[in-house]
Amino acid sequence: MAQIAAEEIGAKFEDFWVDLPDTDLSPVDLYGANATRITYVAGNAVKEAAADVKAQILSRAAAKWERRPST
Amino acid sequence: MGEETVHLRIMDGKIFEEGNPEPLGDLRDLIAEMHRPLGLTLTGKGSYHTRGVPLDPETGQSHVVDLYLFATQVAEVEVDPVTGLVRVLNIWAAHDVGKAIHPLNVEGQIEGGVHMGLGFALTEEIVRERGKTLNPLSLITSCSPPWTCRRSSRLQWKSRTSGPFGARGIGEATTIPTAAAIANAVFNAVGVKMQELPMTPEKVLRAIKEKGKEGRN
Repeated sequence: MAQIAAEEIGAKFEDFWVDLPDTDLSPVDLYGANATRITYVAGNAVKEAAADVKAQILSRAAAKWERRPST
Repeated sequence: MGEETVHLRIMDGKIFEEGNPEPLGDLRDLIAEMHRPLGLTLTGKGSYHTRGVPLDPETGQSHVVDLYLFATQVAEVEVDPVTGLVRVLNIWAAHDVGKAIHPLNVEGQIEGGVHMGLGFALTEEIVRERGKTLNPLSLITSCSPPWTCRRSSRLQWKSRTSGPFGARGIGEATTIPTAAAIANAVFNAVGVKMQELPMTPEKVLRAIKEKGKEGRN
């Protein structure tokens, strides 16, 4: 999971850690992100969350160095 | 969103501008700055749901599972015709793992799964009578065969998947083929089709003797 997040963001793997399960942070999981499908289900969710973080960082970086997002 | 639209990219923990080999700044500094003085809490959200489309009542077909796993295992065994002991000499396990994000873990999963399969095939037996387990400790006491495989080799190849960075799951699929491969190898060795697991020496010997009787009749 740390590797997936680091790869998606473009950051160093060593800067990532995976917290122990805590229902304050993550919702209750019924029968989804476990067993064989952990990499597939949780990995895809982590990738999406990392993309969300990355977009926020890049948006701040663009503001800081005064570059407007050009679409 | 992302580096394509802002012409900025994050690489190896640094922020780069396209076409400029010098980094604009460090990712950690930027994130620290977002926290303070800007007071922004950087939180990302993501979710993934498997689809689980119900079966079509007419055809019985559906996209029930998002991702199927494919695997083949080959077993080489030695069967002692006097004692019925099955000795596994080699297991070759070929699993479609997609992109192996952590190759050592993938290999560990395969090897561990094969060993679970070995126990399932040969040693682990739950004895029940009238719905009660008579040997509750058997899973602990008999999980390892009395010998070890000399070697297990693995093949990996990449295939397209919707998993993160092309990864697939590699858990249960490693355990499932092992017992079947061993049973087929036993058949190849002594000509008996074992119909029940685990294939203990007693059961294998009984099957060999019954086959011998049939041969004489």
